[in-house]
Amino acid sequence: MNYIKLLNFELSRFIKIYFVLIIITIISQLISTYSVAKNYMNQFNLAVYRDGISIEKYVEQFGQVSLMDLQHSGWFNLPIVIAAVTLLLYCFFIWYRDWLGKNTFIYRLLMLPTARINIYLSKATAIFLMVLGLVALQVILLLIEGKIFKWMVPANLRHDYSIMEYLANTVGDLYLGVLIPMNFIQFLIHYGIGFMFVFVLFTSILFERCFKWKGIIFGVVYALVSMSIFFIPFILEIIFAKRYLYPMELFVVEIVLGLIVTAMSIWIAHYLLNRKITV
Amino acid sequence: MKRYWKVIILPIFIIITFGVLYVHHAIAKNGLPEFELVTVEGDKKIGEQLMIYGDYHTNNDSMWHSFRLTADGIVYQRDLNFFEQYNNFFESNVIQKLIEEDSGFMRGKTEESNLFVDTDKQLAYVGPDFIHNQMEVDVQNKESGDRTSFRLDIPERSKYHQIYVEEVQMIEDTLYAVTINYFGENKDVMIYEISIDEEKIIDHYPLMELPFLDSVNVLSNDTDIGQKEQIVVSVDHIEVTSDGHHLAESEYFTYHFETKESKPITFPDDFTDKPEDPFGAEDYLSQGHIVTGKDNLYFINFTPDGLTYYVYDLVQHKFEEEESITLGTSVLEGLYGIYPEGDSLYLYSQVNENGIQFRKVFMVDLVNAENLYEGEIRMVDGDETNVYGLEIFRIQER
Repeated sequence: MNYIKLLNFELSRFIKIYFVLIIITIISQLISTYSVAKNYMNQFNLAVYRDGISIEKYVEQFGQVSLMDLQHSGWFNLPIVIAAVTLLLYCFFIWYRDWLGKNTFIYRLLMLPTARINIYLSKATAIFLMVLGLVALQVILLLIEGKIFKWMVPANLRHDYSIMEYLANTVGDLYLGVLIPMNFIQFLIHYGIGFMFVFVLFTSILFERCFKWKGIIFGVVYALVSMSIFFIPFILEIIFAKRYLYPMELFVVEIVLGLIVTAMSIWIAHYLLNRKITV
Repeated sequence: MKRYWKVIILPIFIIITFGVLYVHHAIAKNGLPEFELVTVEGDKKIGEQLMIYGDYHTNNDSMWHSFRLTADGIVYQRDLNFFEQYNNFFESNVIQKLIEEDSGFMRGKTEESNLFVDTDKQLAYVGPDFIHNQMEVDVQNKESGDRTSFRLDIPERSKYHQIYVEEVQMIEDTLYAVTINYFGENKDVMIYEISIDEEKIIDHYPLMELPFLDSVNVLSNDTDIGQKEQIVVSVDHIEVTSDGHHLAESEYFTYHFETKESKPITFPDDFTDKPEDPFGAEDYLSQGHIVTGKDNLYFINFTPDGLTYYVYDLVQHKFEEEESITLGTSVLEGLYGIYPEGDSLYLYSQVNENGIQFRKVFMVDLVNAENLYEGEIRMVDGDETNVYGLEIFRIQER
């Protein structure tokens, strides 16, 4: 229950900024969808009704409008970038804010009658939920954006994509394919790796908080060691210019190494919070 | 409980959204069309042995999806589960089979079929060892499973800045590695004779020395790693003038490993494998094609309704009589690609008849000058209207 209380507390501390991010994303992407559809129809009307081009010729020349056209729109991409950068910065701020200000809040947190690792886990979970919440919002928005196209553009001038079709065609050249993978196992892998990085980052921050200037070096070294462990099959591949592991074996080894790095980060954080942390 | 609404609502929102998304995707699979290969003429068993690699795309090019089509049905790369996607979708059948038969032997080896040779008794590999600047040799006795593995220092290694193994062959207990060794502004085409018993290079000599820009190829069929006594080599000599690079001359010759004898191959008078305009879009069928068979080399020209070809007997070193195969004008008009495999040639044609496009696959036997198979790629339960495209980039035996 203490963990849930701490998680609720962490979410509450960011909820106002979080709602701002949500509102910016909704407004910006809806404006983007409206303007892409509107511009397409304006061009279509000019070409067909003023210049006398046939509808078939227009479609042949300019193509149908679809969700794909959104990926080049700044209004569509900007809120995603803003949200990503904000959450990335908040990964640092979620710790440092507890040390900032007149009354160091971390003192109160550490004195709570609960295991200190709960502080670490609740902060990580808060980041996890906020990232996934925004990505889930993006899924809903893509559905709504598809509907907007249907309302504004006649069927013969648009190509309707399902969300997965849209993602299948953006994978490789857009970050949305990374944020919303094509299948559930890939989803677990992408976010598993993402949160392994969050745990490593949090532990590095704790090194800095525990050992101050020396801690910066410890934190950087820890991050490098963790990444080296995780990427060791690829490092060996480069060193020996040989691929020893078959793809499936490499996949299993990476899962095991990812779990080792995550467990190691949590264990070290547990040790630092209990034995080394200073306020 | 009310004060914990954020902890409750956020996970529920996430689980429902992604749950619905992935469950819906798993059930619907977003309906990519099903295709099947239907035998129109010829032996049905040939069709059952075919593997067709290609891309399906919509007519507005908004969607492209790679697929593999066999008699068992179509498999889209997109619809493979994560574990299946981890393997190379387009990996050569030969390499895939070798890995399936003995993954231990294949571990850590460069996955290029020209580095392997499979005799009745032994499977051998000669590949580069970039770390030690050596050659890596691995030979496995197919009956006993015994392996002989060793590394070899390359003579005059310091002279060369880069060495690539182009072809590997084995005659009795001697391996022959054909390499291209780059040095300065030139390159040597080298032959290294490797004794498996003595585990050393017993002889090495240059087949030819060429300027850096000249192009040299060992012609081979990448689905056949069987034993051969000789290789066919093609060389394009490039001339540099003030207005760029030009092809000055091409030569083809055979090289026999045991006799060390080279014999030039002179093209038939009406054959050229080079387009008049290398940048022209329509030159694919106007030029000839050379196909490497087991004991023959085929010089193929396309005609308005089929193909004619000269057979060069690699054993007798002489041309045989001209052969021809008729396929039909509409097939040639819609010919999209040719895919040689040894003494067979696969063809893919998008035949347009009365506004309807038929996608046909042919297999011709070049030894007997016969059209053995005609199949059609059909959409299952769909209208064959011209609203999608099938780009085929490989047809081979399973």
